[in-house]
Amino acid sequence: MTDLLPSSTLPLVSKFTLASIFIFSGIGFIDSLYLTVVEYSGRQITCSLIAGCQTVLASSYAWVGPVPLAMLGVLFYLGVLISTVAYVDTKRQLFISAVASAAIVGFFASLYFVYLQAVVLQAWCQYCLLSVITSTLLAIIGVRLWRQWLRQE
Amino acid sequence: MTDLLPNDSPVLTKKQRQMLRRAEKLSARTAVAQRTTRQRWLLWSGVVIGLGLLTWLVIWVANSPTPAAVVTLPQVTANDWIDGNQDAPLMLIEYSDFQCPACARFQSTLKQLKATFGEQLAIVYRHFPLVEIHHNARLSAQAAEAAGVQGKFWAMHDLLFERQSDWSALPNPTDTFVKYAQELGLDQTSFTADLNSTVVKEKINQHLANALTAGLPGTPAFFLNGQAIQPPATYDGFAAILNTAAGK
Repeated sequence: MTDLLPSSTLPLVSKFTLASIFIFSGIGFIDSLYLTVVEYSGRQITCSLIAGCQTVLASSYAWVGPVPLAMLGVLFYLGVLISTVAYVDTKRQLFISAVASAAIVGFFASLYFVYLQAVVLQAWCQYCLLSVITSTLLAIIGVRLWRQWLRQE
Repeated sequence: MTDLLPNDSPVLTKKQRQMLRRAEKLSARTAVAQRTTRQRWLLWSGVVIGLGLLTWLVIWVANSPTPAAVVTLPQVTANDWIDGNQDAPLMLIEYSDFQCPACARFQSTLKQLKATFGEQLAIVYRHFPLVEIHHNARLSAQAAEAAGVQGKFWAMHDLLFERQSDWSALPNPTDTFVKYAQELGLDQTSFTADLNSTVVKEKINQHLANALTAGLPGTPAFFLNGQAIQPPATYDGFAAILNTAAGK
């Protein structure tokens, strides 16, 4: 396994940053897993904060072929969680670089989902918005990490 | 460690000192390696157990029943599309949208239920086209109604759900629906006329208005003997609800 960046030249990621990644990806994982279970069950979801969950989740945009979009969220957050644990375990730069990069990609995917809700569906789903928040926070961490690494290279 | 050295020797030879150092290093390395392996095991088993528990909890919460909403629906009449006997002890009303993917996924469960419960179960189809998000929902409902004029509502209903992905994204699926009508052996001219007839459109509007008045949150919405039910994910779950209602 080769590292994207030579780990010897880079300082270890702080415990605070790692804890933040765990918390945000954990929340995102719970959120998208809940949506996935609801989507597969075909149940009507209860929106306690805003109306529109059912409109968003019943739309054809909520599925990519036979897979609910929320399932992709589960895989994304699970990947971030596992990679972060792998980094804590091995201290290999590759894992944390993958997390930082995936977080930025995830943010752009979230932007597209916000566009779908705001412009195409004109309905908002609170669970989807929660995922937008967690992926944005992860992306902020990702950008900060990359800036730090590029400065030190 | 001490047994490596002779107890009665007050001064160690150079060779003995080297051996002692080597043994100490080896022992320290082994201890560190053991500790690291234990820590790694703890870390990864903690992660696996934690994620497993979290997943179980979320699935349990997502599947726990929510109180049924109290809604008032129009009575089932001969004007409704009923698959089964109007006097069947189990009357399942479905508010649905032909362009809704979740509704399409429920069709195989409903077919299985009908096959199992036979004459005991009647399934009523009512339109709830989510026109704001499904631009072909209304026209597909009209196509089913137009086929219904010629006695083929359920055949068109099945075809529309089966081929949902073929027509959902079309800007105007009229030609596709006419082809389906041909396939079902319907009179094309009558079908095309009925597709846009005021009677057909009015019927769908009436269903839509009833669904909105009842405050249905989306599709599919199911009512068993007048009570709103949360449709279970599996056939077995659905069958269990019907069995309970039938007093079995």
